Formats: sequence, C-alpha cells, structure tokens
Amino acid sequence: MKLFSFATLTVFSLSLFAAQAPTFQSETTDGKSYSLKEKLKDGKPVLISFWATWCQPCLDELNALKAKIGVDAGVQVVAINVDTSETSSDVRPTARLHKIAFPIILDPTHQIFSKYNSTKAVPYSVLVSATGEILATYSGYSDEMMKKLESFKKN
Amino acid sequence: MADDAALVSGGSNETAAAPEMNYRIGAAGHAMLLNSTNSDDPSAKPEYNLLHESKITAELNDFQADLVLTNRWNPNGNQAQNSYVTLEKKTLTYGWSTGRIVLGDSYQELGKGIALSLFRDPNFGLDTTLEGISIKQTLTPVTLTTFAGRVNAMKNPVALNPLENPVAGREVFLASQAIATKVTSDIEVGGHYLFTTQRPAEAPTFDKNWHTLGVNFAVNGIADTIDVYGETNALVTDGLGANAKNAYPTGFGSFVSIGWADAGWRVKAEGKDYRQYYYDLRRPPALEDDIVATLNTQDVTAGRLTVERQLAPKTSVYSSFLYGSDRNYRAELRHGIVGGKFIGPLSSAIELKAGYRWMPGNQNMSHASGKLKLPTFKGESLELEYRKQIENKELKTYRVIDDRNQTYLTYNFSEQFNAGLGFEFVPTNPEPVQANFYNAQATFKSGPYQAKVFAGQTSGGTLCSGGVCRLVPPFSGAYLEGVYTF
Repeated sequence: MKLFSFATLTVFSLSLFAAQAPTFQSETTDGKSYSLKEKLKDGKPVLISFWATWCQPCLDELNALKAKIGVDAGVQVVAINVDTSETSSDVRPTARLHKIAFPIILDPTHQIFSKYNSTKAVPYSVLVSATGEILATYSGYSDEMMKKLESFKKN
Repeated sequence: MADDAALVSGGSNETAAAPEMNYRIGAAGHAMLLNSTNSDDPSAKPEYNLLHESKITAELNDFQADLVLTNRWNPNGNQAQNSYVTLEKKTLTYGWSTGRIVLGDSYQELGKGIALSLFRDPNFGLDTTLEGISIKQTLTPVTLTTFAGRVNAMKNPVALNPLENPVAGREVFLASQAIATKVTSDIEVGGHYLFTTQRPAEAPTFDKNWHTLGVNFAVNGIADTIDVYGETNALVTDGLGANAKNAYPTGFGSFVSIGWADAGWRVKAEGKDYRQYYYDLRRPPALEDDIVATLNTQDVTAGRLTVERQLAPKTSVYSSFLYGSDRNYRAELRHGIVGGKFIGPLSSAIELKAGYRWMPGNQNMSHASGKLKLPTFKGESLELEYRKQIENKELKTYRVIDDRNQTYLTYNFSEQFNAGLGFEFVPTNPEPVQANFYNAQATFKSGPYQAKVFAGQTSGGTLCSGGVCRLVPPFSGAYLEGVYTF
C-alpha cells in the first residue's frame, strides 16, 4: 500500500502545478536555431507536433496542418521528428515529398520527446499558449485539434 | 487548463526592463499495473507488478533540472526487486544562445549511431544515458561537443517486455570529443573520437578499452532535391588485465545515404558496411524492415534501394529491395518489399504491404499485412488489421517453420475512446504451447491523460522498435497502463 500511496501522492501533488511546457533549444533541419522560449515571445501559441517518417497518421496530420493552418497563421507549428538513426535519413526527402514547410527539429534520442510523453506513440501534439502553458495534448490524428487551430486562424 | 484567453495574453516580453524570474514545473509519467503468468510455467501462480516512472522538470530562467523516479512493487514475486523510490536520472542543464552544459544524465549519439547511441525506448524499457558532463558550444561555423562520464541504464523499466540492462554486471565509462563545421549553409563535415573503458561490476581494474574514430559529411538540398549523408568509423579494441593476451580485430563501420524527392517521387539509396564491429552501446542503421528478429549490425554489408510514388493525398505506392552479404551466416541476403496506401470504398483508408526475405540455403521468410480504416458514424470508425508471417528458420539442417497470424478489430467510438479484440494464431507452436491467443483492449484519452486496459493472451514473436528487435515470449494476463503529462 505504501507504493500506491506514494504514486497517488506524487500524481496528486504534481497536478497542483500549472501545466507548463518544458522548454527546449535545438537546430532545425535548415540550420536555424530554434528555442521554444524565444518563439513564445512572438505572442502566438505554438503547436509542437511529434512525428516520424514511417507514421502515416503523422504525415496526414502535417499535411492537414499545412492545408488548414498554413505556415504563417495564428499558431506557430514546429515539427519534431522522432525517427531514430535507422530512418533519420528519410526526414528531408519525406518533408520535401509532402512539402512540409514547418521548422523541423531532429530528436533521434528523444531528448525532447521524453519531456512531453512517456510513451513512443506518435503523432503526439502539444498546444502551448503564448504564456508557455500546455493548453491541450492530442494523441493520434485529431480532428478536434484541427478545429481548435482553425478557430485561432479565424480570430 | 488555461482558457483560450491565455493564448493571446501578453508575452513575457511585454513586461519591460525589470529582470524576469521565469520558472516552470512539470512532469510526465507512465505507470503499469500487471497481472501475468509465467509463459514458461503456466502452472505457476500469477504475479502482480506495479511499475511507475515519473519525470519531473523544473526550470528557472536558463537553468533546467530533471529528475526521473521509478517505483516497482511485486507483492507475490521476488521481493528483492521491490523498490519504493529509485532515483534513476538527475540532470541540471544551463543553456545560452550558442551552447549548453549538462551535468548529470544526458542522451548521446555520434553520427548515425554507428559509433555510439545512448537512447530511450519505452517499448523495451530502455533508458540509457551518460551520467557525467556534456558541453556543446557553437562558434560559427564550428560546433564542438564534449562529454565524459559513466553509462547509466534504467534500473526499473516500465515495460511489458523489457530488454536486459545493457550494462548489467559491468561499469562502462565514456569520453568523447566531436567537431562539426559548416563548409557552406548546405554542406557540413564532422569528426568524432570516443574512448570507452569497462570493468566488471565492483572490480577494481578495467578489462577492456575501445577507441573509436569517425568522420561524417552531409550535403543537403543539392538542386533543392537531393540529400547525401556519409559516415565511416574505425574501432580499435584493447584487452587489459586478464584480457591483455587476447587479440581483438579492428572494426570498421560505414554508412551512406542518398535521397532524392521531387514531383511526387522519393528515391533513396543506402549502403552499410559493418566489419567486425563488436561494440554494443550503439544503434546503427540496419536497413532491415522491422519484422526481422536477428539484426546483424556487426559483420554485414548491404545496400537498399527504396522508391515511393505519391499519386494523390493519402495515396502512394512504394517498393524496396535490399541485397547484401551477412558474414555471420556466410550467406547472401535479399529482401524485397512492395506496398501501398490508398483510399478505398466508402472513404476507407487502406494500407497493404508484402515482402519476401531470403538467404539462400539458410533462411527464408514471407510476410504480408493489411490495414483497413472505415469511417462509420460521425467521428467514429472501424479498423481491421491483419498480419501474416511464415519463416523457415533453418534450411541447412532441419526445417523449423514459424507461422504467425494476427488479426485485430478496433472500433473508435471517438478520439478519446476505442476498444478492440485481437486473435493471434500460431499453428506451428510446439506442444504444450497453445496455438490460439485471444485478447481484448480499450484505450481512453483525455487531455494529458491516457489509460489503456488489456486482458488476454498474446503470442509473442518478434518485437521491433527503433531498429532494436528481440523475440518476446507469449503473454497471458491483464494490465492497466496510464500516461500523464502535467
């Protein structure tokens, strides 16, 4: 019972904190520096989309984001690729094939992904407010997420 | 959860000149409650296990601290495995505009993981880090990365099929210096040196050293359509102490990839050449599909050509062919795969894939899979998945046929909730192992929380994740799995 108590206490006590997005700093595939903290200073929310080249729902999601949200709308999108070294050579050709124009960050060891998700399931998206709070997380391709993002575009 | 108004509230940059105190605290966690029987001894009593992992992150301005804690409780099993709280990882990071320094645990990879890869894979409960110091500094156009420390593997993995601790029974220490420089905005060259030494656990003296030297280059966006990557490494091994008399071969590991994508086509040619590369803290490109159980990444040469044609949104066909030489088997290796994705009747999404892998005179395997997703009512859909694999594991001496069939039917009631049934059929299982396996599962997602409940049996077989494969035993029991992010 001690263990159950500890786990419950841990979960409960952590839930008292506001949902804050872990920050990260890395380099995009086109060689530019990317810092979540700096991006949030633009005053727009950020959608962090974790994806892999072999994941069809991920590609569907990025294509839908491209079509419905665009790259310069009310929400900033960053696509964090979680392909391992096995498939990381596919990232640039796949991005080119699908005309993905969002900033792409490579995270082959899941240094960033592990801060947001304890499993490996993708697509996994995190909507972060301009003030750095996690507004919502979406596991799997989500029509709800698309509707939510489109509402920002209208505003 | 904050309301939408928070989205457009003023950023912290609006609060003018006074120094800011930005802080954040968050956590991500994963828990499993298991009740399972031993597949090797079905008459044994079921065992209960509670496994829990939590990553707590605190940030203050440019500092970030991470702690990973695990709990493990096995009330009717091996009490020695119980652990109320284990501090698995501890990390303090300080970042600045051109670099960062990490004290404590960090993931490390050199090149494409041929020389070194310390990574995390929750499917296998792997979480291997460097416990020490890591410094990365960019002095444009040069980036320097230095790290040193000991290898720290997860002690209490939260996984149904955990892999063995990769540094069990030994202490491994690493030190590395890597340099990368941009020759132009599209061309980067780099090099790395890695020193590794190990000693048996609690032994005072070291018994083996490794020296790895590697170079790599990347050319991105040639004519806006072509990407090239190449890497080669040499590995020198020295025996120490009792091992001093042993002569270890020099290993070599090289990989090259050329990708082209334009006008709906994607073509990729890859080659690997690994020769006597005996070093296990790595995850090199295997070029194998994720259904092949035994991946030889030590002594093998192969090339693979992949062609994909995007015909329309959500519609594409692809094929790949691998040809090489597996020096462990002393045999040629071939693997051809074709597949496609398209929109079927009633707006269904269909994925098909089939292939044949053979090593003449040694092994062969044919495989096929199909997946159908059929929209039903608004926001609801039905998914049907089937996988078949027949493998002749030993053709030289006697035939060992492994015939595996898996069928899953899942209904997605909404984006938050789905439930499904599974049937797995392995007619070639030897007595007394059963041939039929039935299971049911349901998944519930709500914001940052996810829960999955599973009950029944699975047939085991090859499980691959991120290029790492292992044969897992059959499972019988139930588990509840939860994931949370704060």
